[in-house]
Amino acid sequence: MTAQPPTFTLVVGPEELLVERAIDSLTQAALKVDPTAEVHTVDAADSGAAGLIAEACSPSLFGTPAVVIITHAESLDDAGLAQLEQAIANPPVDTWILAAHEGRVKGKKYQTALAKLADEQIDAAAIKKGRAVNDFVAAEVKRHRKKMDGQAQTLFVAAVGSDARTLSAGLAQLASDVEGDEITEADVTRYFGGATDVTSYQIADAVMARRGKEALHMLRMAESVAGPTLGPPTVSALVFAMRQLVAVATAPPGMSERDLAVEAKVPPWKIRTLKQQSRHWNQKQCAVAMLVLADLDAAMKGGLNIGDQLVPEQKALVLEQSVVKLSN
Amino acid sequence: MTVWDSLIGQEKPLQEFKDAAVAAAQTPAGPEMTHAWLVTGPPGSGRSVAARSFAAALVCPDAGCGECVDCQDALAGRHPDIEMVTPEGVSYKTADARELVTKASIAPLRAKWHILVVEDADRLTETANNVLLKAIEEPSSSIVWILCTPSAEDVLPTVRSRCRLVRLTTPETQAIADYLATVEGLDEATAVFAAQAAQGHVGRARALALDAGVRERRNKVLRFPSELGDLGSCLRAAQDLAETAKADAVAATESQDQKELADLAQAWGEGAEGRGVRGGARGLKSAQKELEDRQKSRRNRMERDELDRALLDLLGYYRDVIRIQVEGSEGAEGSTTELINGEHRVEIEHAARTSTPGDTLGRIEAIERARQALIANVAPQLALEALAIELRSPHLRANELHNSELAAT
Repeated sequence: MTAQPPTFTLVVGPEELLVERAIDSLTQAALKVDPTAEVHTVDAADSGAAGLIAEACSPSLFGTPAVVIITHAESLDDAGLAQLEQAIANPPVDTWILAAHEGRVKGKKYQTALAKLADEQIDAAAIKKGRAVNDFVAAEVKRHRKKMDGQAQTLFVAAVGSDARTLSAGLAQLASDVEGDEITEADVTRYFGGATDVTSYQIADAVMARRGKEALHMLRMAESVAGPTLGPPTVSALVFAMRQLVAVATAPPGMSERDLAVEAKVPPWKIRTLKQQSRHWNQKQCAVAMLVLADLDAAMKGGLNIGDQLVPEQKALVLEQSVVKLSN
Repeated sequence: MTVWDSLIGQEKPLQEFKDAAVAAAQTPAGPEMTHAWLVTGPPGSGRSVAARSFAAALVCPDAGCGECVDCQDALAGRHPDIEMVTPEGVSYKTADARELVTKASIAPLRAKWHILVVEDADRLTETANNVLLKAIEEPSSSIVWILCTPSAEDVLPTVRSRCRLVRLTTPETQAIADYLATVEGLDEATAVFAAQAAQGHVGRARALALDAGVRERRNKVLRFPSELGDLGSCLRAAQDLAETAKADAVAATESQDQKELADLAQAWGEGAEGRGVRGGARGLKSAQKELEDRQKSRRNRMERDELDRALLDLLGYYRDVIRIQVEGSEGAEGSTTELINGEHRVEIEHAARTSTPGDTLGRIEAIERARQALIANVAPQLALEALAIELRSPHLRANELHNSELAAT
């Protein structure tokens, strides 16, 4: 026989992710007991919430099992609390009640009253500060049945931030992609290193230095943040970089760095970088690159032929292909 | 002088128009007048000129004498019974079409016919087409519609089937040269040069013959191929061409832009004082923004048109090159092969000797691709850079990018 879920669960705290999880796990448990169970959600902030609670908690004519979720319990009124207390005291068969309370000063007395009746209390405190975040990460790692040492966790939090959903999604990705039991610092770096603030100019620099893997990696990272708006700035950054490179590469030998900077229209400090980059390129490769870029620009604008209408996915594909082609 | 003087090299359509005008002028009218005309022809063949001349002939009691007040007014564009409509923006909207239809119910004031000329009718949207259809289908007895499009396929079949079609053809070089010599009074050599260089585009021929700036721009374009040395020079030449086109577009639109902005500010009461002025100032700002956006799109279009003309000039250059490569530089009786760009014969013959017909075809393809890229809204400088590279090495694309995954997409 399946374990019965608790009749009344109280969730205390503002962290939506955790509240949702509590609701989800209760619903799942209830459905396991009886797959026909119905879910009723009552927002305690609604006017007439007391009546709605009474209705949701009353036994149904056909004895259908029910899960009753009461959100915003901090906004209950006395009538609502009375209804709820009565329902919890004499629960109909196979009815499970869950109330979510923000856990702040507002409606504190309802929290206290409900806590006395609760069969189970779940903590959904905000995950904000260092400790709480680390604990959350640790708990998540455990949930995915993985291991992760303290340093890797710190690095992960530093790269991703402290938003519970982002952390949770990031860990889910790591857990599904890392093969062994242990998520290491190297894994974190590989997935999230430099994820923040990739600019199109950095991508262009990597391409010009022929660091194809890095360029593609940065492009993917930037794509995950910026989506389809990424194309045009990346193309113009690449075109600019290529023009500067050509100007430096085809300048007469022996030209002073200062003259070169004027000629290539770049700041003087960039000349050295450009000279270094230009070692990776010969004239023919530069020429081919310009053709690739012109084709790429046409693709970003929907396609070269009249009537072409590339969809965002196709554009993203052409962009990636071009970056690979350019940097190899 | 008659109203037909500006219509060049179009004997057959001209006769059709003349016959119709004469028949229409008879009292009572001769054979039933056609109320809807569709004038088609390639750019520069004189569609609008033909429509205007025909309209003038219809309002003239003598079917186009060219001397009377009606003819004069019509040709100057101020005859009250002739409406010439040209789209300001990229397309005719439904509202514009409705306005036209309202006008079509007005009886003529001075002449026998009220004539509505729709220039660039290919820019009618589908719904605008349908709005016009009703009016064209059941015209009032004194209305004549003249629609101008590049080809008959540019209007809906339902509209097309209700119009009498008159096809203009690309005028012969000789006809254009004669026109420039007799009507514009140019010397023979200039007239022939301009007619040849314009390749059948009358307006372009006039501009080339009369405007030294236009000639200089064209020469600059034709020097483009010889400026392409190493990669750096290719990019510089492309940048130069792109910037020139941009500057020309700005120069051509600047005074009009300024005037429009000043007019707008005045209409909104700029400089005025009193109640409600502050609220007006806010409205002015958004109206200014809207106007500036429109001006910007007009400037962009002009820049791209300018570049497209430049690319057509280049196309003519390489057509000359391949002609010499295929036919030789001398004709049958020792005469020299006739070229579009006769004044650049030396360079063209040099280019023909130092490359193969295969190279030339590759270059022509590259020019077509650049034209397409401009239509597809590729950044002009980038499109020209790619073109410069391909003109220098016509097989680079085929060798390096062929069969690549990029070509497939």
